[in-house]
Amino acid sequence: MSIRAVTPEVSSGGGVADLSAEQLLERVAVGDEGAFAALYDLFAGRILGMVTRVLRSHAQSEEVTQEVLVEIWRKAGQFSSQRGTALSWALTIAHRRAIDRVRSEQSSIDREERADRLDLQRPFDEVAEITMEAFERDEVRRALDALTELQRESILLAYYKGYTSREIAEMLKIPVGTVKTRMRDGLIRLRDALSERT
Amino acid sequence: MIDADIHTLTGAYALDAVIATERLDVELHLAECPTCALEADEFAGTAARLGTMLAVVPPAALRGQVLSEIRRTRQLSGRVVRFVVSMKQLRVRWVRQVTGRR
Repeated sequence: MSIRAVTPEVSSGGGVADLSAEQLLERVAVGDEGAFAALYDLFAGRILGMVTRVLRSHAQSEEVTQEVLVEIWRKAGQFSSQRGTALSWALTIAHRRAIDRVRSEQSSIDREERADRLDLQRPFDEVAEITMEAFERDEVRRALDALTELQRESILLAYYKGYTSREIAEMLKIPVGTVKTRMRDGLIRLRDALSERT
Repeated sequence: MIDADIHTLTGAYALDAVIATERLDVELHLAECPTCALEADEFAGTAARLGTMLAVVPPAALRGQVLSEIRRTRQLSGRVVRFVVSMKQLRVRWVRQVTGRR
């Protein structure tokens, strides 16, 4: 508590505008509310977009996004820049919360009915107000296109729909071990394709 | 009851395609296997790329709600080392081993 009392002066004088997300998060870790506001502006749209994609309910998505952002505030001290970017850390928290919500609220039967495999061919068209540059989307889309169908399907069903590897194995009628290895193989290929350009 | 192929679970783990008990098994494994831990971190970054391209414009009211919420929220203090295994987690694992249930 005592940490937070000293921060407003620090943050107002510190000029958060030029800081990277990682530097902002470092300040958030010591209770800097100004840095948190700047981090909100960087991350909120991305978190909400991903959570909405998983949950498909705007009201719920905003609620979960709010929970995620508060969790980022609470846990900022646990972020380690050696393990990845601030954005990746934030989205990991967000994805887990969205998935937990989806699993707790929907029976597996309900989700099975919604598992429309055709839907997977166009996973990105639903979000109307996209602020991300087309370049970023195209790059990820191309990387996804380069995967085998099984790799891509396993990854998209898990990430965007919240299915477990066991559920995916049942849906695709393949052994669960195969699903797990396809996910890993696919992520290795995605990782390598996406890191070449950054 | 650790999966013999626990090394292959890094992908499912990064995609949150694991159930709670598997997640625990993976995290216990990551705590002792630097190779898998590095891979899991890299995969987290890769998975995040699938999420970031869906960015939307958040409703204006959300900002104020979040900012006022954090002012009322106490932060966790201090850094934690990677995958601290709590006593509760260890107990869950022990019970599963004893009962043979997953």
